[in-house]
Amino acid sequence: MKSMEELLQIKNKAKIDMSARNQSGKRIVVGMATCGIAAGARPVMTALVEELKIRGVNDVSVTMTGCLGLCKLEPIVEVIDADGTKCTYVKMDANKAKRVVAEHIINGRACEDLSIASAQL
Amino acid sequence: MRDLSLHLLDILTNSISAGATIMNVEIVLDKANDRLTMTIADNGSGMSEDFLKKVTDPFSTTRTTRKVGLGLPLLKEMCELTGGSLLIQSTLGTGTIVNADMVLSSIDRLPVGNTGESLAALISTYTDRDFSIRFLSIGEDESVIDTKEIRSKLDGVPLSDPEVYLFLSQYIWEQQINILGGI
Repeated sequence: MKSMEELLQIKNKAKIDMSARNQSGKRIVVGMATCGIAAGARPVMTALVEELKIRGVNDVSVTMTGCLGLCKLEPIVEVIDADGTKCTYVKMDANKAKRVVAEHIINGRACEDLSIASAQL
Repeated sequence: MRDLSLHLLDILTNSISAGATIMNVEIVLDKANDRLTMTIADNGSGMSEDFLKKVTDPFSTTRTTRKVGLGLPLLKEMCELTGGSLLIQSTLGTGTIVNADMVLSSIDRLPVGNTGESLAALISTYTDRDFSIRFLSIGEDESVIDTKEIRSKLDGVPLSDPEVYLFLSQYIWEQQINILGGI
């Protein structure tokens, strides 16, 4: 069972990490309006955060946003690189989210088969 | 929506869109009266009387990308299927209170689900807003989690820190199970 005391340990660890942390400028955004939520966006977001932690990546932010406008392709995840290049992944699930962390975030190679470009519109 | 925690996430995104800075959630289990209620109160912009009247109509929405909004209508339908109701009070400039009242033992009542995952997603994204959640089992026990307290404990470490995200998700979930049980 977790206790609030654990938060103090997290704080102390994060304070040490922060000074050494290099902001990569990469961001991940998960569409989380009614459409996204109903299609399973929340477990996708959890999977992204967990996988980044497992792989020791602590300079990529994961946030939620509203409707991205293509409800039938939800859950939608956008990966925005430091230079502003945006890659939109559609029909995501927890396993695909882990793949995106490994291949796109870590290896720098977009998962083209998951991207909107290869989706059946 | 598969469970109440997903409805909660959805309703709270309405609060965020309405510019709320403080959002208080309360989930109350009343075994003696066979009731489960979820109340979400915010200090957002509120709704006009006209909009309030049609807010549970699926063809009414504030978004401009399309003409349907299903969040509140879906929650209302579920509450009414159980024999309960959805009550929305709102005042322009003051805020909104959404009260979902459900019959606990109804087969149509959705399970509570994981409110920890829902709140962790919101807290880590909207780090400058305050969220609190209170679980209460009437006549038994209660637990309150408030980002004001968490923020002061973190002493400058952002709420968006992934370790904080995973801690909060798990902590809130455990408090929920502890107070409400697996309902």
